[in-house]
Amino acid sequence: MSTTAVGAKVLPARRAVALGAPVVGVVVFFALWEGLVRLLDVKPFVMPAPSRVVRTLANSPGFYWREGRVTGGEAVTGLLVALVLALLLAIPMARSRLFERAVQPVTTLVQVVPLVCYAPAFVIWFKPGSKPIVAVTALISFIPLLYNLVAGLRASDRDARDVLRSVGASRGEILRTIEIPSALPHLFAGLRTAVGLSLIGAVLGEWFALRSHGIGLEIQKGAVVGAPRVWAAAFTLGAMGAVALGVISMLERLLVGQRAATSERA
Amino acid sequence: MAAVELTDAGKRYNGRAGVVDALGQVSLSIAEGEFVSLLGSSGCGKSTLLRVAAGLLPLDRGTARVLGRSPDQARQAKQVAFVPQTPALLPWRTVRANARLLTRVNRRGEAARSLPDDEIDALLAEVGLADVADAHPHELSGGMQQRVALVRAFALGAPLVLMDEPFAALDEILRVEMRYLLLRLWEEHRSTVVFVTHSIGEAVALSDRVAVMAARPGRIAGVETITLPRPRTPDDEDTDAFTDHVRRLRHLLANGNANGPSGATSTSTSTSRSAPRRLERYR
Repeated sequence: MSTTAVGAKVLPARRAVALGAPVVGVVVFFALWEGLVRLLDVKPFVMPAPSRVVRTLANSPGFYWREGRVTGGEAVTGLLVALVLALLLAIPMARSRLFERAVQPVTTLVQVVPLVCYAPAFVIWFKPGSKPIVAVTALISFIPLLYNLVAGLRASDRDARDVLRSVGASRGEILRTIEIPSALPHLFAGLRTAVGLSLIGAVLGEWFALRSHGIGLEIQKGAVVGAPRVWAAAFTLGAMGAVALGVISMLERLLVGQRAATSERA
Repeated sequence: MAAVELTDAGKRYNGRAGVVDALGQVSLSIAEGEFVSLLGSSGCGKSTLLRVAAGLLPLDRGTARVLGRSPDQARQAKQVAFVPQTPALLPWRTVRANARLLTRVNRRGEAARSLPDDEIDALLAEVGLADVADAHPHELSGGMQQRVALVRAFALGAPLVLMDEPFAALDEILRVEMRYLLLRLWEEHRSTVVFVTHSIGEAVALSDRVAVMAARPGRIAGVETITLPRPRTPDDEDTDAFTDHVRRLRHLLANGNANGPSGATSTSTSTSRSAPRRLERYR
């Protein structure tokens, strides 16, 4: 058998192992959870077994789909608002250390003050409804996007920028041609962090915004609806986060694929 | 009209270690169509001088003129092509798209001689990159990437090409190959080339004149006119004339560094007492 033929068989095998490993990890995790709950006879109101949570989900899939869509919409809208704001602020910050120094204390304050402190204020400013939820979501997603974008814009090749400057390219042309494409890997790293945070923001926002829909309300009503429904809501949020991360990974492979190949070779 | 005219040019950097005179009072005139190398050790102001001519750095003292205009005006008018030490290719663009890059920006200042796309493709073919025109930079070797950078510069059709140690990262065999490729492109396009290098042999093989620079403050320690006939071939590097130029440049480098700011400003064959030890650095 030729070396190529051996290589061709080995590669799909490695790929299958690489793809199978996370599935095995998830299955083992839930099997352990299920086993421990049954073995220790843990009551469902303390900690339901995964099979019980799945049964709860299966009993009313329409409900979790509807409520999940509300929360997901708020999270995505907040994430997009944060992305636009982060891009607008990151460009001058990346270009001017002085501006960055001026902005940094404010962004640090925003970052360190617990989000629950802003939420009531946002409800007062934007009135109850989806707006304060989007504002909370945008705020919590903003910081990781901002700092990853600043780092990404600064990571662009200085020689390449000089080549463009030497032919009189405008700042806008340099931004479009070099800086933004260079910042994409950093942007996707920021997005992966921000996705989880945006779901936290949306859930937290729903607790304060006097809404009648949203997966966050199901969690808030935990004592009333029971642990299985709270965990079913948590599973819904987990699934939403996993789908969002999958979409981000797909976009990243599409837009940054060539550079990923470069780093793999290096 | 000179392609580059520097008169008493001075540039000073304020760093943590204090003030550094990157350029003292440098005066240098480079004629249109000439190939001039700037030769010297690290920190002698070669790259600073090149970046001043490219309009990327302003002078603190003196004047700089590029093709009869200020360097910044020449830059805005796309009269200058700059080739940095790294190929500086954009990894998300194909070889072809990288080669066309400079013709796609600042269209207001489009150089009159900028090559159309089909001629850029022909230039890629001429340097042996036709088969990889649709590949991405990470699929190319270092030498191939540098060839793309050369095509990108010559595709602009700018009358002045400024090159900052473009072959420094390549191995010696590839460097020799690249220098004759560069000469071929230059002889076809007849731009003025200012070429920064650490390599004496490279400077002699390529240039009409070699300006030797010395440090603290950065200055021209001497200028050697290269009398080798053109077109040049790798065989020229085995001639006595080539060896003579190399020897004189080594002495100029040693004298320039040994003598300090009052060092020689013309071609010289003499060496100072400390020269033999210092010469080792430039072999």
